[in-house]
Amino acid sequence: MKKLTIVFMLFIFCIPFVSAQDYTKHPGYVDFGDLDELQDVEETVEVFIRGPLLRFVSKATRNEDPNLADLLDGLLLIRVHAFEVTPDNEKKVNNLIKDISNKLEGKKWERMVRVRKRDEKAEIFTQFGKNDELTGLVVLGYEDRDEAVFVNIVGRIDPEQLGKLSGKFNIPSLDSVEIEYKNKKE
Amino acid sequence: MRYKIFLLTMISALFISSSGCIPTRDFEFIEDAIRSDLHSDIHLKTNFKFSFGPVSISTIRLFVDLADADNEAEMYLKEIKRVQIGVYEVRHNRFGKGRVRIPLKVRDKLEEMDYELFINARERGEHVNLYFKELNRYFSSLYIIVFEDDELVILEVRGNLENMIEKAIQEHGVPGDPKMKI
Repeated sequence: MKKLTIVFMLFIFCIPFVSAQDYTKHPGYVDFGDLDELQDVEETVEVFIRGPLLRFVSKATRNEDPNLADLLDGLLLIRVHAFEVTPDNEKKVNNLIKDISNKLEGKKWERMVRVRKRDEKAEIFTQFGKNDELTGLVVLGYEDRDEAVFVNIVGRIDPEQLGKLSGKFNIPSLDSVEIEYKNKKE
Repeated sequence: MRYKIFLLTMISALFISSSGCIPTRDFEFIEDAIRSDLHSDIHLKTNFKFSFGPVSISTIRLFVDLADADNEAEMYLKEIKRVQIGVYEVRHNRFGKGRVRIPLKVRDKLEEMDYELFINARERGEHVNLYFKELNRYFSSLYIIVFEDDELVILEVRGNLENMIEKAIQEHGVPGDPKMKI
């Protein structure tokens, strides 16, 4: 009986730890594949803001903007890859955007925004879980054939606060999701 | 006499092992990985390499305490268990300029050691990596590698880093934040 209690206690203790850590199994997580080759350019930035760091950012933001802090509390991961688009990697970037978009459509992600212009491309996908709760968001694209951006936000996301997230972390196109969501609601 | 020599040897061994004067094998690996992957026109010269363990840090704390200088510094020192730092001069000819790069095997090694990448930023003549390691959902160590055209800095800090990181985020923000100050 004592052993069973210990096992039960360990199990209870491990639940929040496992669920917080293993965001790769979360339905909102997207594997972009190997970006190393594409990022083999002069300018590149990768940022991974995970659990405890999000907790700190939320704490630091709470006084200034409690709504944004609440949004950050629900997130498990913000992952941003930004890199230079050059004539050498442009075709590969386009192919990767196409491949990931096809994969997401196959997995029943909802396409929120699609922009296809000569010098600009943007695809925004959202994943809704139970109770129509937004649990994942992906932004793929580039502007002025200059810088490509691949973003994945995982966790409980409040679409009405996405514009603020865009401002906080300088993630492009998120405000368009907020507008699109509000239009849909109306 | 024999007893005294034995005692002296034991005390010296204990002091050296706990002072952490010798950089760890992992730290050496990071340095070697960068050296072995250098562009042929770049060379590194070690300017300074040191490791501070609990004994050295306690001694520094004692001085800070005596000087009554900075309460904040004392607070952080209390939570730090080990610091390893290496500063290297980057020498290159005109072809080597702008070609500094932290090799991917550094990332592989650190991830193997349960470090998670927070930032990887590269532009011409500058490459920065910042890693954190969590233990029971708390930050237990960090690695900062800054490789610039004229200098390479490798820094490892172990301890309870919660307050330090929280303060850094409060004061400097996060990457992308328009208010971020470096």
